[in-house]
Amino acid sequence: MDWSDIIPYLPDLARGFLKSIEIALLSAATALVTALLLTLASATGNAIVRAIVAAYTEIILGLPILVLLYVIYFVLPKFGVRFDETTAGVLTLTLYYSPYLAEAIRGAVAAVPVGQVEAARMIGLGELSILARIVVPQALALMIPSATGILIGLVKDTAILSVISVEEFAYVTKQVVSHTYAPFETWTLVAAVYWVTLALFETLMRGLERRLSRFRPKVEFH
Amino acid sequence: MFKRIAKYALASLSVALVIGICQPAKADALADIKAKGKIVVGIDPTFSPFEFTDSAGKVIGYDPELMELAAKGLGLKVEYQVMAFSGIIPGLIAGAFDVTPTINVTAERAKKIDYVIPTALSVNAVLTLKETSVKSSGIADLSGKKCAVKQTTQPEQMMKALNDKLKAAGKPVVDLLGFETIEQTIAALADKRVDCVVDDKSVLFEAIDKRKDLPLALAGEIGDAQPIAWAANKSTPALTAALSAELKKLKVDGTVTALQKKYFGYTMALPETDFIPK
Repeated sequence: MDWSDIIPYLPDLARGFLKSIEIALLSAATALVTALLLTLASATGNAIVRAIVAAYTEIILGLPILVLLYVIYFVLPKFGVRFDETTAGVLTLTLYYSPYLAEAIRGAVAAVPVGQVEAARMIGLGELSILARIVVPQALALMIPSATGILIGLVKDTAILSVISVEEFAYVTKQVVSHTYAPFETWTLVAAVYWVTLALFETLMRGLERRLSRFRPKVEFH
Repeated sequence: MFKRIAKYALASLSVALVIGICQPAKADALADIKAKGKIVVGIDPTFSPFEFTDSAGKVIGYDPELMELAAKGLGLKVEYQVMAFSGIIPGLIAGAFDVTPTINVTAERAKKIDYVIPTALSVNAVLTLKETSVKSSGIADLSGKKCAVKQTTQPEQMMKALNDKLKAAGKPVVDLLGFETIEQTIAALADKRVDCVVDDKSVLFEAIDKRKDLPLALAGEIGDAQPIAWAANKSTPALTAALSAELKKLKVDGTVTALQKKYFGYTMALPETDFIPK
């Protein structure tokens, strides 16, 4: 094992890592916004809107993300729709992860006890106040565990963007391996970086969850 | 209940760790392979006419046919392990399979893997659309253009080396987009995502032939001709030598020439010694 082979390529790897982080943050933001829109759309009374959301969700859940990426990047241009590599990647991650996030949001909102909303109405709180002061704060805390898992999936899946030449972490890693012929050392290092990053993210989300749910009574198991 | 789950989780974790720690088994001698009766060939069969698949998914081509004949000479069967090219050389070094065909011979690679005597000579070329802004395949005319290549291949590395020269001369580099297969590089060209594709000339010829629906044109050759050879792990010199000996026999009896005519339409004189560039 010769770790020194990798040293000249550390700046390249760092650049790839930052590109992955950039794509992950961008995709997470767009996916969360899309998920919120999906949740709102399926909460409306309009049957057509709900049917469209349901159909979209079914289609996305039935596609492997790699296939979705290939369709967006290689098939859509035949129909005159062309995205550059990074945009196609962010779009894929957004389309793929927003239905899962929407489900996490829906579940969290549904878990807020109806009785609280009814009680709030009884004491004369407005609907917006109920949303802002009762439903959202609790739902946020409730959705964090499942949303964290989904977002971790999103971060890991940024690696598949390497197949359409987005120069993110996995793409750069393959390039470095092809120069150093040190697959063991390079992939070990890269795996450790992915793992530490995601472990850090998970810890942050746990902290956030604790902070957001500090008013909730703890459930004890016996 | 929880204890039980924890136990299973712990057990699977320790298995994963053990597998992770164990080095992949390396065939340390030709005798081992002969005892198994088969030679495992790592291959990315998306490099026609060198190696590709027929409609039934069977691996065929110039190199597989030669490989099967050489293996037969050694009393062995060939078992293919198909993977993307970016996994081939790392897999060979890790001992995931015994040998891989159709590797461009470079000094850099020769430090990490052993080569059997060459089976072909390759030269890279530049493919464009018929209506193109690319004036010629000269690197000066490619400066500032976008080119698709296959990730981690010799053509990509050659283009990077040419880019270093452009940089040194203060000229804009060729923007390289790396894909996984030749079809994807051609699709990128057809969709005008790139101005050109750089790959092995015979592969590009084949692509032009297969995609008559696209207005493809060969702009010309780029870089020097290079030998192509099968590669084996450095820990199996006996296997490398045995394959070289079998190839020599197939050259003497005219099989190699016949296969070159069959797959390339022309023949080439192949070196047997000093073929690794300095």
